[in-house]
Parts: sequence; structure tokens; C-alpha cells
Amino acid sequence: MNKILIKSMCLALLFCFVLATPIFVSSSSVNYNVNLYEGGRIDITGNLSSGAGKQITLLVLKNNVGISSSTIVFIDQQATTTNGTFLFRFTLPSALRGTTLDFKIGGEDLTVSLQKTLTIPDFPININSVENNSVRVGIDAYQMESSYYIADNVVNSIIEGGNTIYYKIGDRWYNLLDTRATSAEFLIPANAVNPTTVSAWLLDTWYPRGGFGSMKFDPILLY
Amino acid sequence: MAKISKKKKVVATATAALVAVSLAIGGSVLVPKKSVQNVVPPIEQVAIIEQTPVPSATPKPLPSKTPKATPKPTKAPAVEVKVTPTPAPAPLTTLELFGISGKTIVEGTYAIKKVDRNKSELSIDIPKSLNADLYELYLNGQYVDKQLLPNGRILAPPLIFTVPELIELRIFKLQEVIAVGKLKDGKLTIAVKDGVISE
Repeated sequence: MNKILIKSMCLALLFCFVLATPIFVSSSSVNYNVNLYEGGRIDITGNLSSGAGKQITLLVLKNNVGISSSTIVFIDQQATTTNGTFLFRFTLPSALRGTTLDFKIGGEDLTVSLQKTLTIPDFPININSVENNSVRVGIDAYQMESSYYIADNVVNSIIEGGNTIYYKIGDRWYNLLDTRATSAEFLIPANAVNPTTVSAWLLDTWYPRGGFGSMKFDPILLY
Repeated sequence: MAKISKKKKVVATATAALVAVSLAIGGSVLVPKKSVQNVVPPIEQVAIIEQTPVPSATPKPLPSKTPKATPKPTKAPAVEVKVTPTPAPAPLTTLELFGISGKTIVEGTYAIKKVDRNKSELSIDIPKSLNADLYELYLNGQYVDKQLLPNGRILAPPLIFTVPELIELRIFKLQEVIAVGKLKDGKLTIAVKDGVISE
């Protein structure tokens, strides 16, 4: 009798596992990469298996602490696009150098959030931190998507740092006030500003893409 | 029975010894032959190496046509001959880089709109059959920026868009380049990787 009881209990348990499994597995899965670039720039790209038009949320927190206004580093939400693809881009404040952060992804059709943990190295904030498709105007640098890249701010940057406009693509800087800079044909590597000259630039404020408004450059020359 | 088995054992060991001895002799006979055969090819290879400069050094007609320039050919053969046989490898095109044959071409459209004095924006419209989800903008081969598809717009200084023919778009599906687009005459011509559209 005991053997029969044990067998029936085992079978029952097995059925429980089989039935319970679909409940615990989320109806959609997500995979994503967290990429850290110079100057604390972060790219998070990924795909949600349930496809386009689903809301997905990114929450960046200090590692191993509860959720509160002081521990949330960054939060954003967007709808997935074709193939369930999403892309979050922002720049970490320099105050987070050396801290360990959790990058959590949650969203529609995901029953559990996923987490990746990354320790941020002690990165410098200098001209090399500025990403491509940015301009240096006077004493400041603006990413083209920055909401601070408006006429009033540009005028102030020029007043403080002189009438200079440089543009960065392909990790090279080009002087847009060069008399030859009349068309895109000018933007070839041979016409780029010498990297040694760029390293000597002493700038004030960096306005990166999205997320955080601005941050001060380290007041140290690179050369 | 025991005696017979002992005899059998003796016979067996004897034959085994014979086989071993014959193998050893045979082996010793064969080995030197192989070593002799191995010695020959290196000599031939050396000969070939020595011969190579000879046929390439054939600029004899030149001195007869230009008698005044006789001192130059004496220096030339040694240097020029070494340069000519090594053709410079052609740089990879973007299509080659991503294994796109260029056999499949589709068309899309693009629009460049001026936002303000400092900014213009590029938007593209590509066939849905590509299932593309992201594109990157390159100017003169240099990375500018990227945006999600289908609606992502790339903001850049107006100067960037003054010569659309210099712009190249790398089109991605699930983080893999599936197509490369060029802007020309108001159209976006897209070379698609084989098999992408039929999938």
C-alpha cells in the first residue's frame, strides 16, 4: 500500500511540474546587451520575442539596494519596433564612477524583469567622451539630439569660448568654419583636425544625448 | 595435451620473432628510401626560387629604344621586379564586407528636412519585406549615428546632407547587417543580402 501511495504521489508531483511550468515561464522572452562607452555613455539594445508595439521599461539602479528616488539612476520606457527591437541610449553622470549598477528590463508580456549588473569604471570626462554626431561650439559640446542644442545656448557657448564650431563623425573632429567646409565633400579624414590639437581643447560643459542634461568636463588637458 | 600446447606456444613465439625480425629488416630497408625521396624536393624548390628573378628581369627592349637612358635600367631590374609581382589588395567595399552580392536590389525613399539653422533630419522609408529594425548613417565611410526603424530620424548639421551620394546606410535586422543603401537622385537604392527577402 505504501509503495502504491509513494508512486501515486510521485506521479502527481510530476504532473504538477508539467502543468505548473507554463505558468512560471513568461509569455515572452527578452534578450539585451548593455554596452558602456567612453565618458559613461550607455547603449542598451535588445529584442522582445513578442514583437513590435510592446511597452518596455528600463530601470537602472544602484546594485543591491531597494528602489527609492535616491537609488534610481535612470528610468525610461519605449515601445518596441520591428522584430521587437528596442534601443536605450543615455550617459551616466560622472558621480557614478566606480559604482555597481543593475540594469533591469521589464515590460509588456514579461512576467518577470531581467537584470544585468555592471561595475562602472572610473572614466574621465574629456573631449574623447563626446560621441559622434556632436558639435563643439565655443566652450561647450552638444550631441545633436540634446534638447539643450538651441540657439540661445549656442550663443552663450560662443560668447564664453569664441566663435568656433567643430563637428565629430567617425571619431574625428572637423572645423565647420574652415573656408573649404562648404559641402559634405570636406568631411574626409584628410581634413580632420589633428588629434593632438583636439586633446588640447579645454572645454566647460558637455550636453550628451538624452537622459541627463549636462556635465562638466574634467579641467585637465589630455596631453 | 599440455605438451602439445607447449609446442604450439614455442612455434607461435618463433613465428612471431621471425615476423618481427623481417619487419625490422623491411623497415630498415624502406626508411632510407623515404629519406632519399624527401631530400630531392627541397633541392628542386631552391632551384625554382633562384629561377623566379630570371624571367621577370626581361626589360631588354627598353635600353635599345632609349639609348641615352642606359644607366637607369641597370638599377631598375632588381627593385622594380620585386614590386610588380605583388599586386596591392583592393580595399573591401561595404557590400563585400557584409557578404552582400548585390544581386538583389530594392528601392526605398528618403527625405531630408531642415529643422532649423543648425539641424536637418533624415528619414527613410524602406520595403517592409526587409523586416529591418535599425539603420546606421555613414558619411564618406565615417560613422555618424543610428536610429530604429521604421520611424527613426537622424538629426545632423545641414552640411552632412549637402551631397546625398556620399551617404551610405547600413540596414540591420536583429543586430545583423542585411542591406546597404545609397542615396541618389531622390531615391534610396538598397542592395540586400541574398535570402533575406524570401525568408
